[in-house]
Amino acid sequence: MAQLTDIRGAGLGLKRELLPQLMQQHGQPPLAQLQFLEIAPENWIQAGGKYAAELDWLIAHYPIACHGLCLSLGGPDPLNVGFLQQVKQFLSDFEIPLYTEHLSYCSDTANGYIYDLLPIPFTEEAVKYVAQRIRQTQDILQRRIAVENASFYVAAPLSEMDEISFINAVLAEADCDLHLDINNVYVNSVNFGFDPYAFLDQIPAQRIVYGHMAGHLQVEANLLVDTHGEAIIDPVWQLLTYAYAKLGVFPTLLERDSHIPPLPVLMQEVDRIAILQQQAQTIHTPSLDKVA
Amino acid sequence: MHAFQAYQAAFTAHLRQPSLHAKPAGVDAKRMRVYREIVFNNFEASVSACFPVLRDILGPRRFSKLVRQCFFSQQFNSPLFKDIPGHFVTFLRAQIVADLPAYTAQLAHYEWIELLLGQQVDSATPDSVVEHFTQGQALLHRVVQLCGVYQLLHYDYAVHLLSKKTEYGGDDTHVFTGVSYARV
Repeated sequence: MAQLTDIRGAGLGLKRELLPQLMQQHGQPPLAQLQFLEIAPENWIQAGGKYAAELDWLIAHYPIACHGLCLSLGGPDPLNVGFLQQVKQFLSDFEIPLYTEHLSYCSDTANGYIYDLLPIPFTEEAVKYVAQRIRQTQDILQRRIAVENASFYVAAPLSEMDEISFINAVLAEADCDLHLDINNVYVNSVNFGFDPYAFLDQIPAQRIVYGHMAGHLQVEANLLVDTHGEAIIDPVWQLLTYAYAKLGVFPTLLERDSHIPPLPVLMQEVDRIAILQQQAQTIHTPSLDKVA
Repeated sequence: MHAFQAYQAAFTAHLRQPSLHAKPAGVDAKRMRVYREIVFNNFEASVSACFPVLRDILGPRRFSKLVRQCFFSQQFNSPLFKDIPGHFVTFLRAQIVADLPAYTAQLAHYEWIELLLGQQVDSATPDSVVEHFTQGQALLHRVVQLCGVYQLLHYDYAVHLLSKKTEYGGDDTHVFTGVSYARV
């Protein structure tokens, strides 16, 4: 059975179109640094036929983390308890040690799901509301979850605090973990003109379960869109290097959702994550090296 | 309702139907456009993938208009992405739109069922030799096993023959859809 400690090193967010290559190249040198995978439960729950067989293969060959998309922690409608029960069963059936979600919402009361991640206004009321729903989620799942800092493009005029204050207030109020998306920190820092390094300085390191890296699209000088469709740019790599130095090394995976190159090309970015992790560990554990 | 929830309601109402609902007061118009495009394009992509024939017949603009109508009028109660096309079928079945071909909802249903069954195909079925029989009596000498996943459906139109070229396939058809092969 996969344990939380099996989610380590460098990983990759799994898109279904990558599966044939993954199955074929598994165990070969270009994939040597690939230590875990991430799937969205919304894409695999109730998977029948060949999808079920693919899932069995994945579980047998890699530690898997679940990263949800549609729980709508900040949504106005009641939490979908039936869906959460399905998630619970799914995590249990496939012995998946980790479930994370987004600090956002993807539903409304008028029509239900809208299937995209929208920004929660940063208010005191929203902190309490979201934290309560995270606690409810943790109670139902009978496990801790982590929430991810989301990328966004529109600042709500009614916000009462900045993003990092909102995140920290929610984490403390809900007592949950953090899924740290480095690219989202960078995207938001450009879109809203803040210092991403100062943002990272305020992250509670002990709550981080794992991290995300991804590429984005530059639409204008001060507008980045979080497409996961491009190569990771240098400033985001520098931010990850800083995060490892400041917060300690955490498991990190590459997200790539569109314009997906062949797997060996993707692996170059996964490899670079692994190298940064090794370098950070070398710098930060001199005493351990001496003992060894 | 909390103040932040009133803002959220205005935000999503605008995304679903910008022609009727103005953006929330005080938000940047250019930035809001990013959301309008991303959110609807993603939704439309999830729908379109399932209905290539209907989209081809109606053309991208008419199809997109329907998807937009669905987006602001339908109830979406499933968080699973695979259920999005099913919501579109439900929407079409409730439509009485004069300028749509009469077979629209049935063709959409047929395209959706094909995808649905494809996702359910029983992988436990061992690989087998597939033969096509042209004469019914051949079945007397064979053991025939049907796929475990199928539906027997009746449509008022020959939906399996419809395409942009043969827009109208004829009346009344029974379709046995699924993997309808005979196994020896």
